[in-house]
Amino acid sequence: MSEIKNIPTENKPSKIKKVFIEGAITPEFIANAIAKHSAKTNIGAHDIFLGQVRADKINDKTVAAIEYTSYHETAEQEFHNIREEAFRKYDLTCMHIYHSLGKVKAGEICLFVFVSSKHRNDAFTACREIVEKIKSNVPIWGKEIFEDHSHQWKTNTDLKVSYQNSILDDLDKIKELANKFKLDTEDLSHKDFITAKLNGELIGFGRLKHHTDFDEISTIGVVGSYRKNGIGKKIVSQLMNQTSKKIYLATVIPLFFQKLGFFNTNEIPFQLETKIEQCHSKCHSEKVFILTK
Amino acid sequence: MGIKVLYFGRIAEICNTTSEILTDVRDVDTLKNVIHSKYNLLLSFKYKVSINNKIYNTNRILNNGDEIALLPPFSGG
Repeated sequence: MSEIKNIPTENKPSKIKKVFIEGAITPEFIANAIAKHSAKTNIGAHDIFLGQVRADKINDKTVAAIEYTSYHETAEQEFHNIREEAFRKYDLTCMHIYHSLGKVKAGEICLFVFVSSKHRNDAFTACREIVEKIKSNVPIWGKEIFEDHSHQWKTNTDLKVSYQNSILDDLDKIKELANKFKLDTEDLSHKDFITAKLNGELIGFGRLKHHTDFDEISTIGVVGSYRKNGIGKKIVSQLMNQTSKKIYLATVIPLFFQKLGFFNTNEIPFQLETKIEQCHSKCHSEKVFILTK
Repeated sequence: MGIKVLYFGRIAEICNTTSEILTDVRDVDTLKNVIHSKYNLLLSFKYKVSINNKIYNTNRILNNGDEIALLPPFSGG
């Protein structure tokens, strides 16, 4: 049995919490938020992320402020999902997210993420993941207003995901995730894999399974919170570059591969026939498609 | 009644409005065609489409009363 989490009632991860604040988030607000936690003596570690508006210089013009707008209900729902997922994944005592709407001047705070846990590791990891998800998943837009009142729309820098050939140390993590995602775990060798890593952490993988007269793209997985960022797509295209043989694959999500130029085929190599059966038993008889390129 | 279309960020600026009602749009592809011919600049613009607060990547049938939003790349934080 896992330890029962001691979550204070007001912070239970269920109801939608107020996230948006009009204008900048003040140092007093942040100080108060910290002070409020002194009564929660089961907390051993807080991790705080503060996003501050930069006075970027672009073509001799300096950013004076950012004006934030959002798709309100969807944004709140997305913040809620991020929260719920973090509570599910990490042993957190409580979590607060605040984001500005409207104008925030350069040097002022526009994002405040406050994560508390018993021990530091959960707080550190969760906080970073929450911030990345806020940037990629929440419908908020920043308009950078220059000192001369002209403007441009802010763009967020992408996740710095690195793609590389797998090393032996990755294999345990790949095995664990492949089992979790119910992927093909037959003959796993790190040499066949390409991995996607974010700050050294493995967040995606995929491999070429070598058969006599063709290669098979197999065991493609991306950690849930990083999906829909094109990571799976990148892994597949890198795998495609690593072979000159004909490629086959078995999948329950043909659309994903069709977008990458694969097409359905009825010519099924015998090596894939057993795989279709395994797929059926693992994936609750979802329909399996064979694609080629 | 028709389809309510919401525009955000740079898209709202291009369309010069934050929302409008469109009729006779049976699916997302048709809606995109209508919008692209109305606002040519959007043709080359990257955005996601949400239907009733959920983002879909494929074409879908639209119903009267649906709320569609055109979402440019997010830039919160």
